[in-house]
Amino acid sequence: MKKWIAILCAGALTITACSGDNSDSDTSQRKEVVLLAYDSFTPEDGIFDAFTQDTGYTVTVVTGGDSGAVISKAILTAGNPEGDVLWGVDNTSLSRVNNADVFASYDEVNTGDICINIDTQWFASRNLPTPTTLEDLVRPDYKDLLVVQDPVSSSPGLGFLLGTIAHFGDDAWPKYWESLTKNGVLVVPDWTTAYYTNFSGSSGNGDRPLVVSYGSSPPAEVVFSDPPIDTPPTSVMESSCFRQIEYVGALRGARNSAGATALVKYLLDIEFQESMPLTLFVYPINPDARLPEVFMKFALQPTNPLTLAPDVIADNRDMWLETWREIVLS
Amino acid sequence: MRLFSHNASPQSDVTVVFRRVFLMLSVLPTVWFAVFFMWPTLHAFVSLMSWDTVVHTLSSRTTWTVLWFTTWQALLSVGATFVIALPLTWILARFTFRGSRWVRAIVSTPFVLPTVVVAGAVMTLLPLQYQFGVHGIIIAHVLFNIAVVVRIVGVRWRSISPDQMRAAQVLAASPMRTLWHITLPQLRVSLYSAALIVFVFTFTSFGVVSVLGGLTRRTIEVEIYTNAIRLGFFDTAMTLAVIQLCAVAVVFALSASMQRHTRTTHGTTFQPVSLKDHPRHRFTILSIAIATPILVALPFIGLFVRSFRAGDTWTFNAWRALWNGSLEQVGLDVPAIIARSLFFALITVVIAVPMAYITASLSTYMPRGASLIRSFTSLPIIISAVTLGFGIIVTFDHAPFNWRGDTWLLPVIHALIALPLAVHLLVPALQAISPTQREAAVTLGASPMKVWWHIDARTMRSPCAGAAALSFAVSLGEFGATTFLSRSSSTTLPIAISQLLSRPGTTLQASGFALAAILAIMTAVVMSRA
Repeated sequence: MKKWIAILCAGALTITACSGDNSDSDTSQRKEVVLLAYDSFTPEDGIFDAFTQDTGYTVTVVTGGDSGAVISKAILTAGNPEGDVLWGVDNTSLSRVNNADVFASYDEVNTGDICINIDTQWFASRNLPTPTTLEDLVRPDYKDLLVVQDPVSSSPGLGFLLGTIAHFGDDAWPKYWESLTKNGVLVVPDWTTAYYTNFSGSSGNGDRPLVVSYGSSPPAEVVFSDPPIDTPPTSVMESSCFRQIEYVGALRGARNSAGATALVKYLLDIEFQESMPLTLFVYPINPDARLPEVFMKFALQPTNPLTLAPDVIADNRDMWLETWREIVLS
Repeated sequence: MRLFSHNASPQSDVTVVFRRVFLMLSVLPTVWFAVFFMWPTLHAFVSLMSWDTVVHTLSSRTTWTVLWFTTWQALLSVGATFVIALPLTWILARFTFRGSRWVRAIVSTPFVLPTVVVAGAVMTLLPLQYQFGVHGIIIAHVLFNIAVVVRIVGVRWRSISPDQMRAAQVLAASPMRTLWHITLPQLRVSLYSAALIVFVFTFTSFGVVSVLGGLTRRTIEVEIYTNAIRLGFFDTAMTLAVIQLCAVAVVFALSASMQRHTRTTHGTTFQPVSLKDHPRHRFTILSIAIATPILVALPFIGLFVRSFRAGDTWTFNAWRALWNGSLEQVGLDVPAIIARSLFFALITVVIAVPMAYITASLSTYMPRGASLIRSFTSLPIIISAVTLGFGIIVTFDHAPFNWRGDTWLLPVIHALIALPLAVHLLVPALQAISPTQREAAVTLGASPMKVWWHIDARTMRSPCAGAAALSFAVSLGEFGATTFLSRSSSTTLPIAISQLLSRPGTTLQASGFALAAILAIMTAVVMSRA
């Protein structure tokens, strides 16, 4: 027994020594800026090279699950964060994050719309008209066709929930969700699972032709199509769109606060902002950034999306989430 | 026998010295227990419980749905475990055959494995639409708890005299009648004991339900975690923890009262009979004896097999991804995580074994305080690891006790969780040391220190090694408290595995299976030394 302990001890210490422990790097070596984000944060390759050239800081992107997981962790580590910059907070979660004093400073970084995406070919092949309104989703014709994300952990899931609340009002939305549940809505934990496993219109070939995703997902399908296609295979239900604003900010108590500030400035600058439409599929907040052609052709930016005032969200979100869980998950 | 005159005998001299020394040493485990267990749980209770939250939580439909699910899945797990385990228990108690020791070892192994490993193993057997749901949960629970039934009921079954059965046969009773009228009444208490233990384990199940339950199937423990971490509803989480505590306490009280009311007098055990002497049912018996361990081993074989699959192709990618750094994009540095888990486990042993030894010694040399000591040290089992983890994040969150994100806290907490099990192992061994041995040593002129070294320490070497192996395994596989406490720099193997398993249909999940297989082997190796 003692021999085993000795061997394991030696092995563990050796491996620890070899793999390096960079948690106690001293001040002069702080040339790394850690950007915390959710899993689907996929910036363009090499987009941070210019930043490194200008400032000398290298950017390390660390993803930690879906937006809900990243935000929960940020709240739990407020003041002693695991990174320097946080990407993943949006208008639905800003109040929660600010209550916990997570940011040293923050700014709007992009906008987008959370909308129902429709697999048009699926409906065409079955000669079914595509749904056009939220009310359509509870009709028996569209039974067992919708997949949504858990609003507790997913920001598009929460955005969709808030959209239904904005549309139906505080009194009628529970009834709507009861009907949706009866009509066979599938709830999954995050966007990646919903879009790439359950949705029939993307590469995953799932069995549900209706999914909560972004207004910019159709152009994304064109951009990533292989073999290349000219028109998107999916469309967006305009009346379901909820406006989402994403924020980025330097974390309070970050180890490299100078680097954090520099990185945030870079994320708001033209080069990164112009890369966002085709990699993150969101609209830049910087008014001088130009939009790529495929985006302008196929992305839908509704003129009248559903919105809710930030303070209304802040005051009611907890209660709404509790009610939603009671209706849908029970 | 008194060698001396009216003075205190040498034996009680030594005992008095031991008692004083261990009383002094007991300051260490007491302070440790008070700071890292009593304070967080009491503080969380006092600061978060209020009449309003209790009313609010009890009036929410979600609470009752979760409570109902937790209860019925636990009952179903008990039933399913008994159905699978009882035939094998009978066979192992009554018969011996070539390989019976292996059969017993195989069906008992899942019990010592980490919850995420067993959950991952079950996941490999389920088709996609059943991957998150109650079926997987029940299967995993059965796998875990077969060992409990085989152990507890098997021991009792061995002490039922075969002569009674033969007498019943002579009187022309059918096997069913024999079972009902002779065997079952004598097994009743052990059946209840086993059922209660399995019920408590499955009622407070966290790792299994967290990996296999999906969104709709949650037990109270998972709901505590969701409320605390994902929703930020700390007061609801605390109320749920108290509800669970009450339920578990009631079950424990039932079990204690039942054990007090029935005196089990089974001194004799009857040796199992070789199967060769029973040609009549030999085939059925052998098939059950072979089929059950195969069924138990199947998920773990699946773990290996699925780790080499990506979609429809066989590939080493998932295993390669563990070492070549491609998992760093999801924040997992696997070699560092493995090294860290081993290191934490080592520290856990260094803390837990001395603390358990001191506690066990104290309860041996101070028989009057023994039951109180045992009750306190059993608290970490009754108050679940999840509740402890939750208590810590709401207590150690401000200076100068801003420890909740600190790496050193993890092995300290793991040791706390391992403590009851280690004490449970050490106390019988300590109590078995005959006082006359010490007495003899004293007569031969040994000082108390020498008596301790040559008698106690030497006898306790093997049980201490067992306690060390147990603490090591507990730390390696600990999931409930660790999910609250681990950060990127202190990720352990179970955390990494659960993160990877939650991404269905990708190489990441296959890497999760691979990592779970590694953890399974490590734990099995360690526990085989126990």
